[in-house]
Amino acid sequence: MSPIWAIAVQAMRSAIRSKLVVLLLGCLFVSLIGLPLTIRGDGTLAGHVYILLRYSLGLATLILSLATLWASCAAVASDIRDRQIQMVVSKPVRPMQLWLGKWLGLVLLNGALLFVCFTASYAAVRWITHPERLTPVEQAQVEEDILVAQRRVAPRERDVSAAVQAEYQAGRARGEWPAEVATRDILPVLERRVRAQANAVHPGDANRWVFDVPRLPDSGQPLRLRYRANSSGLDLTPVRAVWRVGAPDRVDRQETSVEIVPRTWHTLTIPSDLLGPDRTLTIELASAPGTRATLLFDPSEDLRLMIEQGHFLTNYLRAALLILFHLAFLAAIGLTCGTLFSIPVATLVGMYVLLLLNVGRFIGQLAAWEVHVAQTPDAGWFMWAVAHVTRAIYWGLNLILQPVIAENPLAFVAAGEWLGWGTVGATLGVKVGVYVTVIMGLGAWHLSRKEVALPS
Amino acid sequence: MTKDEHVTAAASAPEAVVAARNLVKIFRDFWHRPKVHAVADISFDIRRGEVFGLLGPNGSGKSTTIKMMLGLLHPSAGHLDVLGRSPRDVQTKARLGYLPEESYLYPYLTPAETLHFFGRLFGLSRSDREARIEQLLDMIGLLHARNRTVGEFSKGMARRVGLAQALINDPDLIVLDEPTSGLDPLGCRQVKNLIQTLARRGKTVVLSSHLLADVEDVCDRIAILYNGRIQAMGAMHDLLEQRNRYRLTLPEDVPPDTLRQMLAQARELLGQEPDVDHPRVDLEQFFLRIIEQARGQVHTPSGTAPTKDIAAYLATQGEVPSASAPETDAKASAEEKLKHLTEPKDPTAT
Repeated sequence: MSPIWAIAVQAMRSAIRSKLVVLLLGCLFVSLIGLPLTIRGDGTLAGHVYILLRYSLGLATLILSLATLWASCAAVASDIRDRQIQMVVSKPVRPMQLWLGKWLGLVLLNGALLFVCFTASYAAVRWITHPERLTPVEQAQVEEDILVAQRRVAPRERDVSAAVQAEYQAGRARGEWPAEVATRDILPVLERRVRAQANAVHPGDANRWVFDVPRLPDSGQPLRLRYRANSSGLDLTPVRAVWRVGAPDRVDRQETSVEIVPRTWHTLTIPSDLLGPDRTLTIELASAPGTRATLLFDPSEDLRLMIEQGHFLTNYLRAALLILFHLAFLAAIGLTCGTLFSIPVATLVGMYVLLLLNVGRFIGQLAAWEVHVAQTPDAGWFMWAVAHVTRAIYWGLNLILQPVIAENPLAFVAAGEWLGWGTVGATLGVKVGVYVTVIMGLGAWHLSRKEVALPS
Repeated sequence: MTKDEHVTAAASAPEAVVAARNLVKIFRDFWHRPKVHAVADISFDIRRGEVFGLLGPNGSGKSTTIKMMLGLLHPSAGHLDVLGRSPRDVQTKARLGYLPEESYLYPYLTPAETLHFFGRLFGLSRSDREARIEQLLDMIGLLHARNRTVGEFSKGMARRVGLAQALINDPDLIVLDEPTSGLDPLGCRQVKNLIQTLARRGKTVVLSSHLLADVEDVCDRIAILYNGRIQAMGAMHDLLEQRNRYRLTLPEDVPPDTLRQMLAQARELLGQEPDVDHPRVDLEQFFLRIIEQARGQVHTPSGTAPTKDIAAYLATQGEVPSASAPETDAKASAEEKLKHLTEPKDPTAT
């Protein structure tokens, strides 16, 4: 452990004394303080807190990500360039210890900077949500919607396979589908269409959703339904509707008339005693008499049952840990790039990897798409080969990237959504336990084979 | 010396700390095509307790050979053992001290932090490190500059820190690449004294230099490299001694009449005129004497201020660290010298 710790301390000392940390702190200060002063929010308290948590802290973590990648690329590569590495590897230090020492130094430094950012941001949030500065309505909003950690539950998915098949057959009979388009390409499109229909509330009609509610930490706490809808009216004219909460056969079913502004989040408070004995919650939305617009929901995104699950601060700390794990992962990528390449090439490769991580979902979609050109008879063998090779690359990239692509934890914290310890553990296991280990193995293996004293 | 002679000589050497056999190093370009043949099929042994010098002009392969001994470069062909193991083995490195041709130190660390850093890499305990660092800083004359960062140092000062880090682990094999480069004459003398003291303690020292006087002063054996090949190798006095010529040193203040008589006899016996002149101290000795006198009068406000030639933990048991140069073998009698001069040499010795 001694060599690893020695290298870690040296890396931190060099970063601090080279003024890198001072520069970073300056950038972080500007992003944390400057951004909320320059971005105009929606004027609400929730909007203000959201900007602070999502965008200011998000910008700070982006700066840290880029700095981590650059510093980690330079950590080994500059030692090789400036030849200090000759002094280190001529000592009884294994390549893995050298790599781990550099990595540990970067992670600890990032941890300290992240701590500063999160502490400053938390202090700012506490300051703007201080009870003395708020009206009673705002205070209630802070307690119920803003400084919360609520679990998000989506409604039970409906089985639409029969309806999709029926729609497909009908379309086929009408000659809607071109012969060269494969059935497997048509069905997902049809499924999306059928699901949209199944989750619409037409004028004079009603729709129903069922939620499976997990066991609550405090059974007396009310539930909150957060929802938003699109309107067939295509404008922001409010649409009147009635929520009915509870199973249809219950006499104590709750009815609430609402005006739904399209594309805007709304909250409905639901007493927890309306849960069924099997821990299901049934909700129904009926169009109000005289309404002419249809309301459209994407149930996986637009209907969220929020259940109080823990405290905001612990949720906030979990988000900080998730970001730290991500930075540790980036540091590993940068370090190994730095062992493989010179500083400019390593930085370029590191940035490319960061870009791939950010477009990981798009790569996933590319990998899943069929290669239509390959099925076109006149495309030729060259295009056929190009298409298949490209798809294989996307498939391979997706295989590597998918386990490390995750939602931005700051989006959860800013929306008051709960991040579980399970997520933290899984991220630690996958990003640090598996990926960092594999990347370290590659870097250490290359270092063990590398001739560090080659003439430049 | 032919390749076979090298191999035979190397194989017969006892207790080899470094054993190189048919060592080759070829630097290749990006496409793996041979670019430079830096070391071309060399074999040698370095024995325990000797000071071995690698001599040669720039680009002769000295540093490349040293870097292969340290595992920083990998031989393209041949075999190399250091302390009985591969040079890349961490157990080998634990017993090595290395001063590179330039002091590649972290510029943002102070000398004490630098030595702590390298001490930790050797797994030394904090108390050991602190004790050794204090002695080493005293030895290199940088106690007063312990809190300045190395980046602010002159080349000579940084070189001294480099030397100290090479000794932090009390190594069995010390590899010094151009050890006196960038040092003032005082520093050079101090380094040479240090090398001799370490050798007396049974340490093996390998040094590479193109400063011939430095090598001549301290080395037991040398190898002269040119164009990646060993051109000559052997014990220093065997290589330099002119065995068909003699020098007679007379005591001080011999009366001129006595000298005249001696010369007349020599002329008569030899049948030719012998050379006579006054012996000279070398410039280094003269310089050191002047500086020693000046040191008593002027306080050194910056730079180095050496007080001891060697850290106590590096000195032989009972040996008192001092600032004076080691005495030459002046006590050996004239008869002993004559005996040594006239005895036949072992022709197989290298």
